[in-house]
Amino acid sequence: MADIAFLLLIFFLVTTTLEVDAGLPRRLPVASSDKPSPIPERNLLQVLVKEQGAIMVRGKQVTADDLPGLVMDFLTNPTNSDDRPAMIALTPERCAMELTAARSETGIALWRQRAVAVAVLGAYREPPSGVQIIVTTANGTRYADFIAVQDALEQGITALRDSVSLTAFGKRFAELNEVDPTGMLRIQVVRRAVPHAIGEGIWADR
Amino acid sequence: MSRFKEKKSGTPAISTASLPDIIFMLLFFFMVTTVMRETDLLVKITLPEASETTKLEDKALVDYLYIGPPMSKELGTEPVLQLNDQFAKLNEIDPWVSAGNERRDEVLRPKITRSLKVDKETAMKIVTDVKQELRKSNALKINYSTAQGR
Repeated sequence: MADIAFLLLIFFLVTTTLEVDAGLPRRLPVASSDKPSPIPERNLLQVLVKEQGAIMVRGKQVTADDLPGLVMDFLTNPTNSDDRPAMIALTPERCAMELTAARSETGIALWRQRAVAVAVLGAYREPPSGVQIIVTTANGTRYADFIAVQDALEQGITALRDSVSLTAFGKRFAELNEVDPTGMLRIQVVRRAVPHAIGEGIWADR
Repeated sequence: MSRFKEKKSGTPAISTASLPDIIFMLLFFFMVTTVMRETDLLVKITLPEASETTKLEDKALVDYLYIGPPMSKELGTEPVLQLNDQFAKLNEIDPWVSAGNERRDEVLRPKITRSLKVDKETAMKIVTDVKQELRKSNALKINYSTAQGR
């Protein structure tokens, strides 16, 4: 009897999970009276979710399944198109050159980070700072539709980070170990190459 | 052919020797599975599902806002906001944010996450208004709480 009781106890101990809150973390833009400095149109991917759940990206109707692809296209700009961000091509030579040419402290810090990233990843392309994917909604949009869009955008970023991580380290991004220093460095570098550029666009509609 | 004894008449008594085991089992089971709920929900919330979720690591640094239709039918079906244990209006968000800040050390204040638990059928208007209020109160770290799925 005691054996069975122990077995049961251990079974339930192992299988019951305490509810942990999970979700999609976001950061709201700072409220200030002065107008935000305008972001160049090519650096901005506006996603509008309409009342009936229709999704418009830059004025064209798309489905939720298209969104991850669009995000990947936007953040890598493989065709060097004019309507997507101008990518910054980074090579060891360029980093060394810019680092000696840099005068300001922020400039030096930025190019140091890029030099580290190049050392780990090899030559790569980085989107300019300030690229943003922004989701706007109509007043009557269902919350579930909004979250579905946020989730699809998140999937795009995860896929992109995975592909960078897989080519460079042979592991998916989520499998990189954040405890040991090399793992942490790899995570930072992948985050540099593929920034989590999903912003909150509530300033855009008022 | 008397290898099998004839059964005695009458029902045998159930052994109570294992009763403490069973009671302990139940005790442990409920101890392990019970989730302490800090607030009584006054609104009905079915969270939307998402796959790419991040876990909120530090529970002590999370404050919750609930938005959904009221539990009691007399109050209508329009989504309402709940803070702590009661319904709240939009202008009550700012004092609520300050109260949340006051409870924590200054160093930790920028790390507080306001987690939005919103019913999936809610129209975005109230969510946008709430976000706008949070932004005015400088509570910029938010989280859209979701159920794991898909």
